[in-house]
Amino acid sequence: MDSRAPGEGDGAKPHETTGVLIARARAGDTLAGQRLLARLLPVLRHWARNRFPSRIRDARDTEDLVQEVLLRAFRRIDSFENRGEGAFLAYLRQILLNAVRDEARRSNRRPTPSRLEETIPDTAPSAVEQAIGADRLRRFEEALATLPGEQQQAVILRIEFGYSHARIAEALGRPSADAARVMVARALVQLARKIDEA
Amino acid sequence: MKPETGPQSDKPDDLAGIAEAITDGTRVDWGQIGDSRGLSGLKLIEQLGQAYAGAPEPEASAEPATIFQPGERLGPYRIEGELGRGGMGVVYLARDLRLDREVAVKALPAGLTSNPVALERLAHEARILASLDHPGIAVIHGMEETAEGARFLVLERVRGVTLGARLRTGAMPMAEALNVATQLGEALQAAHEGNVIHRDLKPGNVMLTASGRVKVLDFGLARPAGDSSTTGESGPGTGRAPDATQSSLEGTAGYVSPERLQGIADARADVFAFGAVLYECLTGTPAFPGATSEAVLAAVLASDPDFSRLPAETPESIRQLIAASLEKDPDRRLATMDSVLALLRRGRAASPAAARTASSTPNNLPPERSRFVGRAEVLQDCESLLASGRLLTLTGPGGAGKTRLALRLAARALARARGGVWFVDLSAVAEPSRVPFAVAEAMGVREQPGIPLARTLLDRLRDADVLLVLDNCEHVLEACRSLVLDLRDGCRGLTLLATGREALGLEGERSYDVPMLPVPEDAEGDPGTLMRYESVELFVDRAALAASDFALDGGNAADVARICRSLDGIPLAIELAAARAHVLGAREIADRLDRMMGLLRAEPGTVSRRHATLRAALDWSVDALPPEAHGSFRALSVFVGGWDLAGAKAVLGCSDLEALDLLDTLARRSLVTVARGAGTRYRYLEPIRQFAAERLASSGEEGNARAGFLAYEAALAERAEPQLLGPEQAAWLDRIGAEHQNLLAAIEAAGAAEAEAALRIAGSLWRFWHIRGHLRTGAAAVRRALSLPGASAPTALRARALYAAGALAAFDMEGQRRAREYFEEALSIFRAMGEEFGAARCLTGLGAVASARREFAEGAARLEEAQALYRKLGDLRGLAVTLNNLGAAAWNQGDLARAGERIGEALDLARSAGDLGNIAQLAVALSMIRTRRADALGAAAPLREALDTLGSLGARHSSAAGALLAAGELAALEQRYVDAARCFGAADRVLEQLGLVFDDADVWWKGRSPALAAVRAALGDAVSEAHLAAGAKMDVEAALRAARRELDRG
Repeated sequence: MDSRAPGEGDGAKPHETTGVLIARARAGDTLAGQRLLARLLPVLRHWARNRFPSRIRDARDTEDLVQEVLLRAFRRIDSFENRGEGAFLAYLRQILLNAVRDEARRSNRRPTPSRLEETIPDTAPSAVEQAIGADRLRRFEEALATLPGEQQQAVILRIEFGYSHARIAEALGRPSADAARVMVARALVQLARKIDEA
Repeated sequence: MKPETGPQSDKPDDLAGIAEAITDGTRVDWGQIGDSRGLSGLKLIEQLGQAYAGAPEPEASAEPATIFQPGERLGPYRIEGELGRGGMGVVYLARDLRLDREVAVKALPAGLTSNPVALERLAHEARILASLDHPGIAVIHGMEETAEGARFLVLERVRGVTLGARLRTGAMPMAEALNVATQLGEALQAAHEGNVIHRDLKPGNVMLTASGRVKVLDFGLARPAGDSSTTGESGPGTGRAPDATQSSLEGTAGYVSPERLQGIADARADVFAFGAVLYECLTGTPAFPGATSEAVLAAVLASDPDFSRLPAETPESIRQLIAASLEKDPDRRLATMDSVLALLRRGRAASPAAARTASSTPNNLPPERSRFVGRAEVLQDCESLLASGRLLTLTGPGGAGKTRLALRLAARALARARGGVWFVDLSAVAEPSRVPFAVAEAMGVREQPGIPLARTLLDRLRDADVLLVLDNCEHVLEACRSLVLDLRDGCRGLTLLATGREALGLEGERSYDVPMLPVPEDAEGDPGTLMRYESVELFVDRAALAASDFALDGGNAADVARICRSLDGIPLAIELAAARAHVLGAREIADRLDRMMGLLRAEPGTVSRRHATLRAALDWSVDALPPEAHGSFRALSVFVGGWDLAGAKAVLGCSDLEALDLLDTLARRSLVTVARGAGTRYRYLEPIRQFAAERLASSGEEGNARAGFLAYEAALAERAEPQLLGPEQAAWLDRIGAEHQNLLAAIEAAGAAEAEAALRIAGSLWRFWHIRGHLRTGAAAVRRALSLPGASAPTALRARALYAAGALAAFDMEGQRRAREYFEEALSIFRAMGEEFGAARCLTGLGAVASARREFAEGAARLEEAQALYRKLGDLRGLAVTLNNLGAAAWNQGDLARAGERIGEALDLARSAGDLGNIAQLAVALSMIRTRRADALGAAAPLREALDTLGSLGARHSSAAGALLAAGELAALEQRYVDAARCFGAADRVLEQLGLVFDDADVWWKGRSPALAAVRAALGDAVSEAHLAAGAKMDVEAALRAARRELDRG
C-alpha cells in the first residue's frame, strides 16, 4: 500500500512514560489505567507504610486502603488536570492523606465493639512521626504547602518517594538528572527556610 | 535514600551545599556546621528522608539450619562440605564412595524435613530434572532417603563459578555474553519443551564451567551461597537487593516478572528473567537496581532499565531482544525462547566479534561440520588462479567435492576479502530469473522498490573487496553467465568463484578441474605411507567418525587402499563407503565394492566412469538401508531446500520418533547432512538429492510424496501469515526464511492439479516477501500461482492470492497499474462471496494505489468505502490504515484541515492499540500538518510524542527522518533558525542511511524548501551551511535527543 501506511510489521517495544499512561488513562484507555496503577502502587504503598498510623499500617490494612483509595481516584482520573507524573503523584499522596484522616476519624467514632478495652489512641503514630515527631511533621507539611507546585513535587518525589534524579527529571519534565538535582536542592532550601520561619 | 553520584561536599558551608548533599544521599556532618536560618529545617528534611528510606520491610523467614555435618555418611555418600543454601534447601558437596566421584546432595533444611509441601516440592524437582536431558541442565542421579527418613536429591556436581560471581568482576565482552546467553537460552528452551518453567532464573543459578559450558541449576527455587542476593553484600552500593520477599514470592526480586506478583507464571516469566540476566551480562549491573527489595520490585513494576548503559556496539536485535523480554505486560513480551534465540542469532550474526567465524569479515558461511582433509596443493593452485583472474570456476562431476572445496576457499578468503564473503547455494534455484535474487538473499540485500535489483547489488559491491561464491551453477548456467557479466565489470574489487559440471565459458574466466583424491596404486605399503594419500586419509577420518575404534593398521591397510582405488578417489563415494564402517570391516566393504565395480563398463579414469562409480556407490549405500527406509529416502528428495523434523514427519506421514530414527540412519550413512541450531535442518548433498529424485520418479510414489510436501508447505505458509505481524515475528521470519526455497519450488513446480496449494502459499507469504525485501521474487511466484490452469475459478483462495499480487505490485510505480487490476478482480470475488473484510482490504489497496498515482478523488472514494466497512466490522487496525490514507490523500490535495482531522483520528486509534510504529509515523504527520497551518503550539505536542516514541522504537525507524524534518519545520516557524538548520542536516543524513528518497511531490518533503529558505534568509548562506553540516555530523539518536531538548526549551 502507501509505503507510509501505518507500519506493517513494526513489532517494536512499547514504552510509555508515566505521563503518556496518564494521558491515555484519562482518555478512557483502561489497559493504560491498569499499567499506571501497577507502576504507581508499589511506590505509594511503600510511602504509606511509613506515613500511615501504625494501626492502619499493621497487617494488610495499609495495602487494602492504598489500593482502594487509588482505584477510587483512578475512576475519577478524567477530572484530574494532566500536568504530568509529579503533579499526579502529589495529588494521589494528598488523597491518601485525606483518606487516612477520614479513616482515623471514623474508627474513633466506631471503635470495634469486641475490643473496647484496648481503646485505640487517637493518634497512633506513624513510622515517620515516631522518627521526627508529630510536631515537626506538622511544620513540614505546613511549610510544604506554601511552596509552588513543582517545588512541592520535587521534595515529595525525592524525600518521600525516594525517586532518583533521573526519574524526577522524567516526572517533572526536566531535561536531565542534573537539572532535576539542582531543582530538588533549591526546593529543599526554600522549604527549610519556610520551616524555620514558622 | 539511594546514594547517587554527585559532587561530594565534605564540608558544606551553605544551605545549597547541604541541600545538594541531602538529595545526593551523602552524609552531612552536622557537627561542623554553624547556625543559620534554614539549617534546622534541612536537618528535619534529612531525617524525614531517612525515615522513609529506612522503613522496615516485611521480613523473610530465617536462614535454614544445616541438617548434615561434614564427614557424615548418607548411604554411599559422604558429606564433604556445604555448597549453598536457600529458603527451600541446603546443597552439600558429597562424594559417592561407590563410584568415587563428587556429587551434589540437596536436602530440605531442618524444620522442613517432614513438611509435606516441602517434601512434595523436592520430589517435584527430582521428577523435573529426571525429565530433562540437555547439556545445559545439571543431571540428577537419584533421590534417596537416610535411615532416619530424611529425603535428599543426588545431583551432578557442576564445577565452575556462578554467573553472579563472574559478573561481580564486571560486564562481559559482547562475544562472551552472547555465547553465554545462547547456551542459557537453549537450556531454557529445552526445559520449556519439557513443560518446565524455571521460575527462578538469575545469575546466581547459572554456572559457568571451565570448559565453557553453561549450566542452569536449581529447578527447585534454592539459592547457592555466595550469591550476593543472600549475603551481607546487599544494600546500597551493591545494587542488589536482599531477598526479603522469598517467603511470599517464589523467585528473586529483580528477575521476577511483574505478572508473577499476581501469581501468574508461564514460559514468559523465564523470558523476562532471561532478559534481565542478559542485560546484566552486558552492563555488569542489574536491570532493576535498588537498595531494598521493595525498591527493586518497584523498579520491576514501574520503570524500564537504563538502556543507555548497554555497550555502544550492542547489535540492534540484541537491544530489541532485551527490551522485548523485559516488557512488563506479558502479552507484549516475547512469548517463547524460540523468538529469543532467533533474535540472539541475528545479534550474533550482526556482531562481528561474536560471529560464527572468528573473522570480522561479513559472511554467511556455514560452520564446517567435518574436517577438511588434504588438498593443500589444490587450495594453493586455486588461490593463485583466483588472484590472477578474479573469476574461477571449479568444474568436475558430482561428488568430486567442488562445494566443499569452494567453502574452504571462501573461509580462507575471509582475511583478504574484507568487504564480505558470500556463499550462494543455487542448487534449489530452479527458475533462472531467480539467480540474482538468490545472491541478494545470501548477502542480506533488500530489494528497493522501483530500482532494478542488479543496480542495488552493484551499489553494494562496487567498491568493496568481496568474494562471491556461486555454488551449483550447472542448471542455471545462462543466468549465472549474465549475472557474472553484469557484476564483474562494475565492481573492481569483486572476485567470483563458481562451481558446476562445466565452466561458464566467459572471457577471462579461469577454470579448474577438481581432481579426484590421489589413490595408492598398489595394495602394498605400511599404514604410514598409505596415510599420505588423501583418499586414504579421508576414508580413515570418516570411518573413525562412524566407528570410534577404527584405525588404520597393518591388518586393514591393504583393504582400505583397495576401497579407495575401486572408488576412483571420488570424495563423496569414499565418505559413503566409510560411513558403513560401523557395521562392516574394511575387508567386507572392499569385497562388496570390488564386486559392484567389476560390473561397470566405462573406461577407468574417464568422466563417465567416475559418474558410474559414484552411482554404484550410491546404489550400494542406499540398497543397504533397512527396507522401511528406502521409501523415505526417496520421498525426502521433494525438499529441494532441505527440511526440518516437522517437514519430514509431514511428507513421510510418521511420528516424531520414527522420523528422528530414520534421519539418524541416513545421517550415519552420510546420506544427509545435519545443520544444528535452534531449528535443526537436514539436507541431501545435491548429487544425492538428484539420485533420490530419480529413484522417486521411477518408484511411482512421486505423486504421494509431492502431495504431502505441498500440503505441508501450504499449511506452514498459512500458519505463518498472522504470526508475521505479531510478537513472534522474528522467529517466524527465520522459519520461513529457512523454508523459502521449498515454498518457492512448491509454486514453481506445481501442476494444474496442485493449484490450490500454490494459491494458498502465494496468498499467505506476501508479508514475508515484503519485510525481507523479496518483492519481485514474491510477485513472480504469485503470478505463477494465479496463472495455473486450475487456479482460475473465483474462489476465496484466488482472491487472497490476487490481493497478495496487488500488495506486492503496488510497491513500485510500474506495478501500480497491474496492482489495480489485481485488487479489482479480488474485490469482485470478495463482494460476490459477501466477504467484507477481504473487500475492505482490497478497497484500501485501491485507494492507496490511486493516491500514489495522484488520482486523489478516486482514491478518497475508495478509502471512504473501505472506512465504512472497517467501522462496520469493528476492525480498528484497518480503520487506522484507512484513516491514515484518507489523511494523506487530503493532505496531498492541500486540504490541511481535513488531513489533520483524519490523521488525528488515526493517531488516537494507534495510541489505543499501543502500536508504536504507527504512533510515531502519524504523530510526525500531524505535527507537520499543524506546523504548516502555522499552529506552532499544536504542532509541538505530537512532535514530542513522536520523538519520545522513536526513543523506544530505535532511530533506524523510517519515521526518524520524518520526525527530524518536522522538527526542522517547526523550529523555522518559531524562528529558531539554528535548530532548524541542524534538524534538516540531521534529516538528510538519516535519509541517506536508510536509503530513502523523497521527491518534491511528497507531502513530507514539501515543507523543507520554504523552511530552509527562511533559515537562509535569516542566517545567511554560509552560516546556514555550517549548521546544516553540523547537523549532518550528528548520529541519529543524538539528533533526535537534541530535537527533543530544543522543543522543551523553545
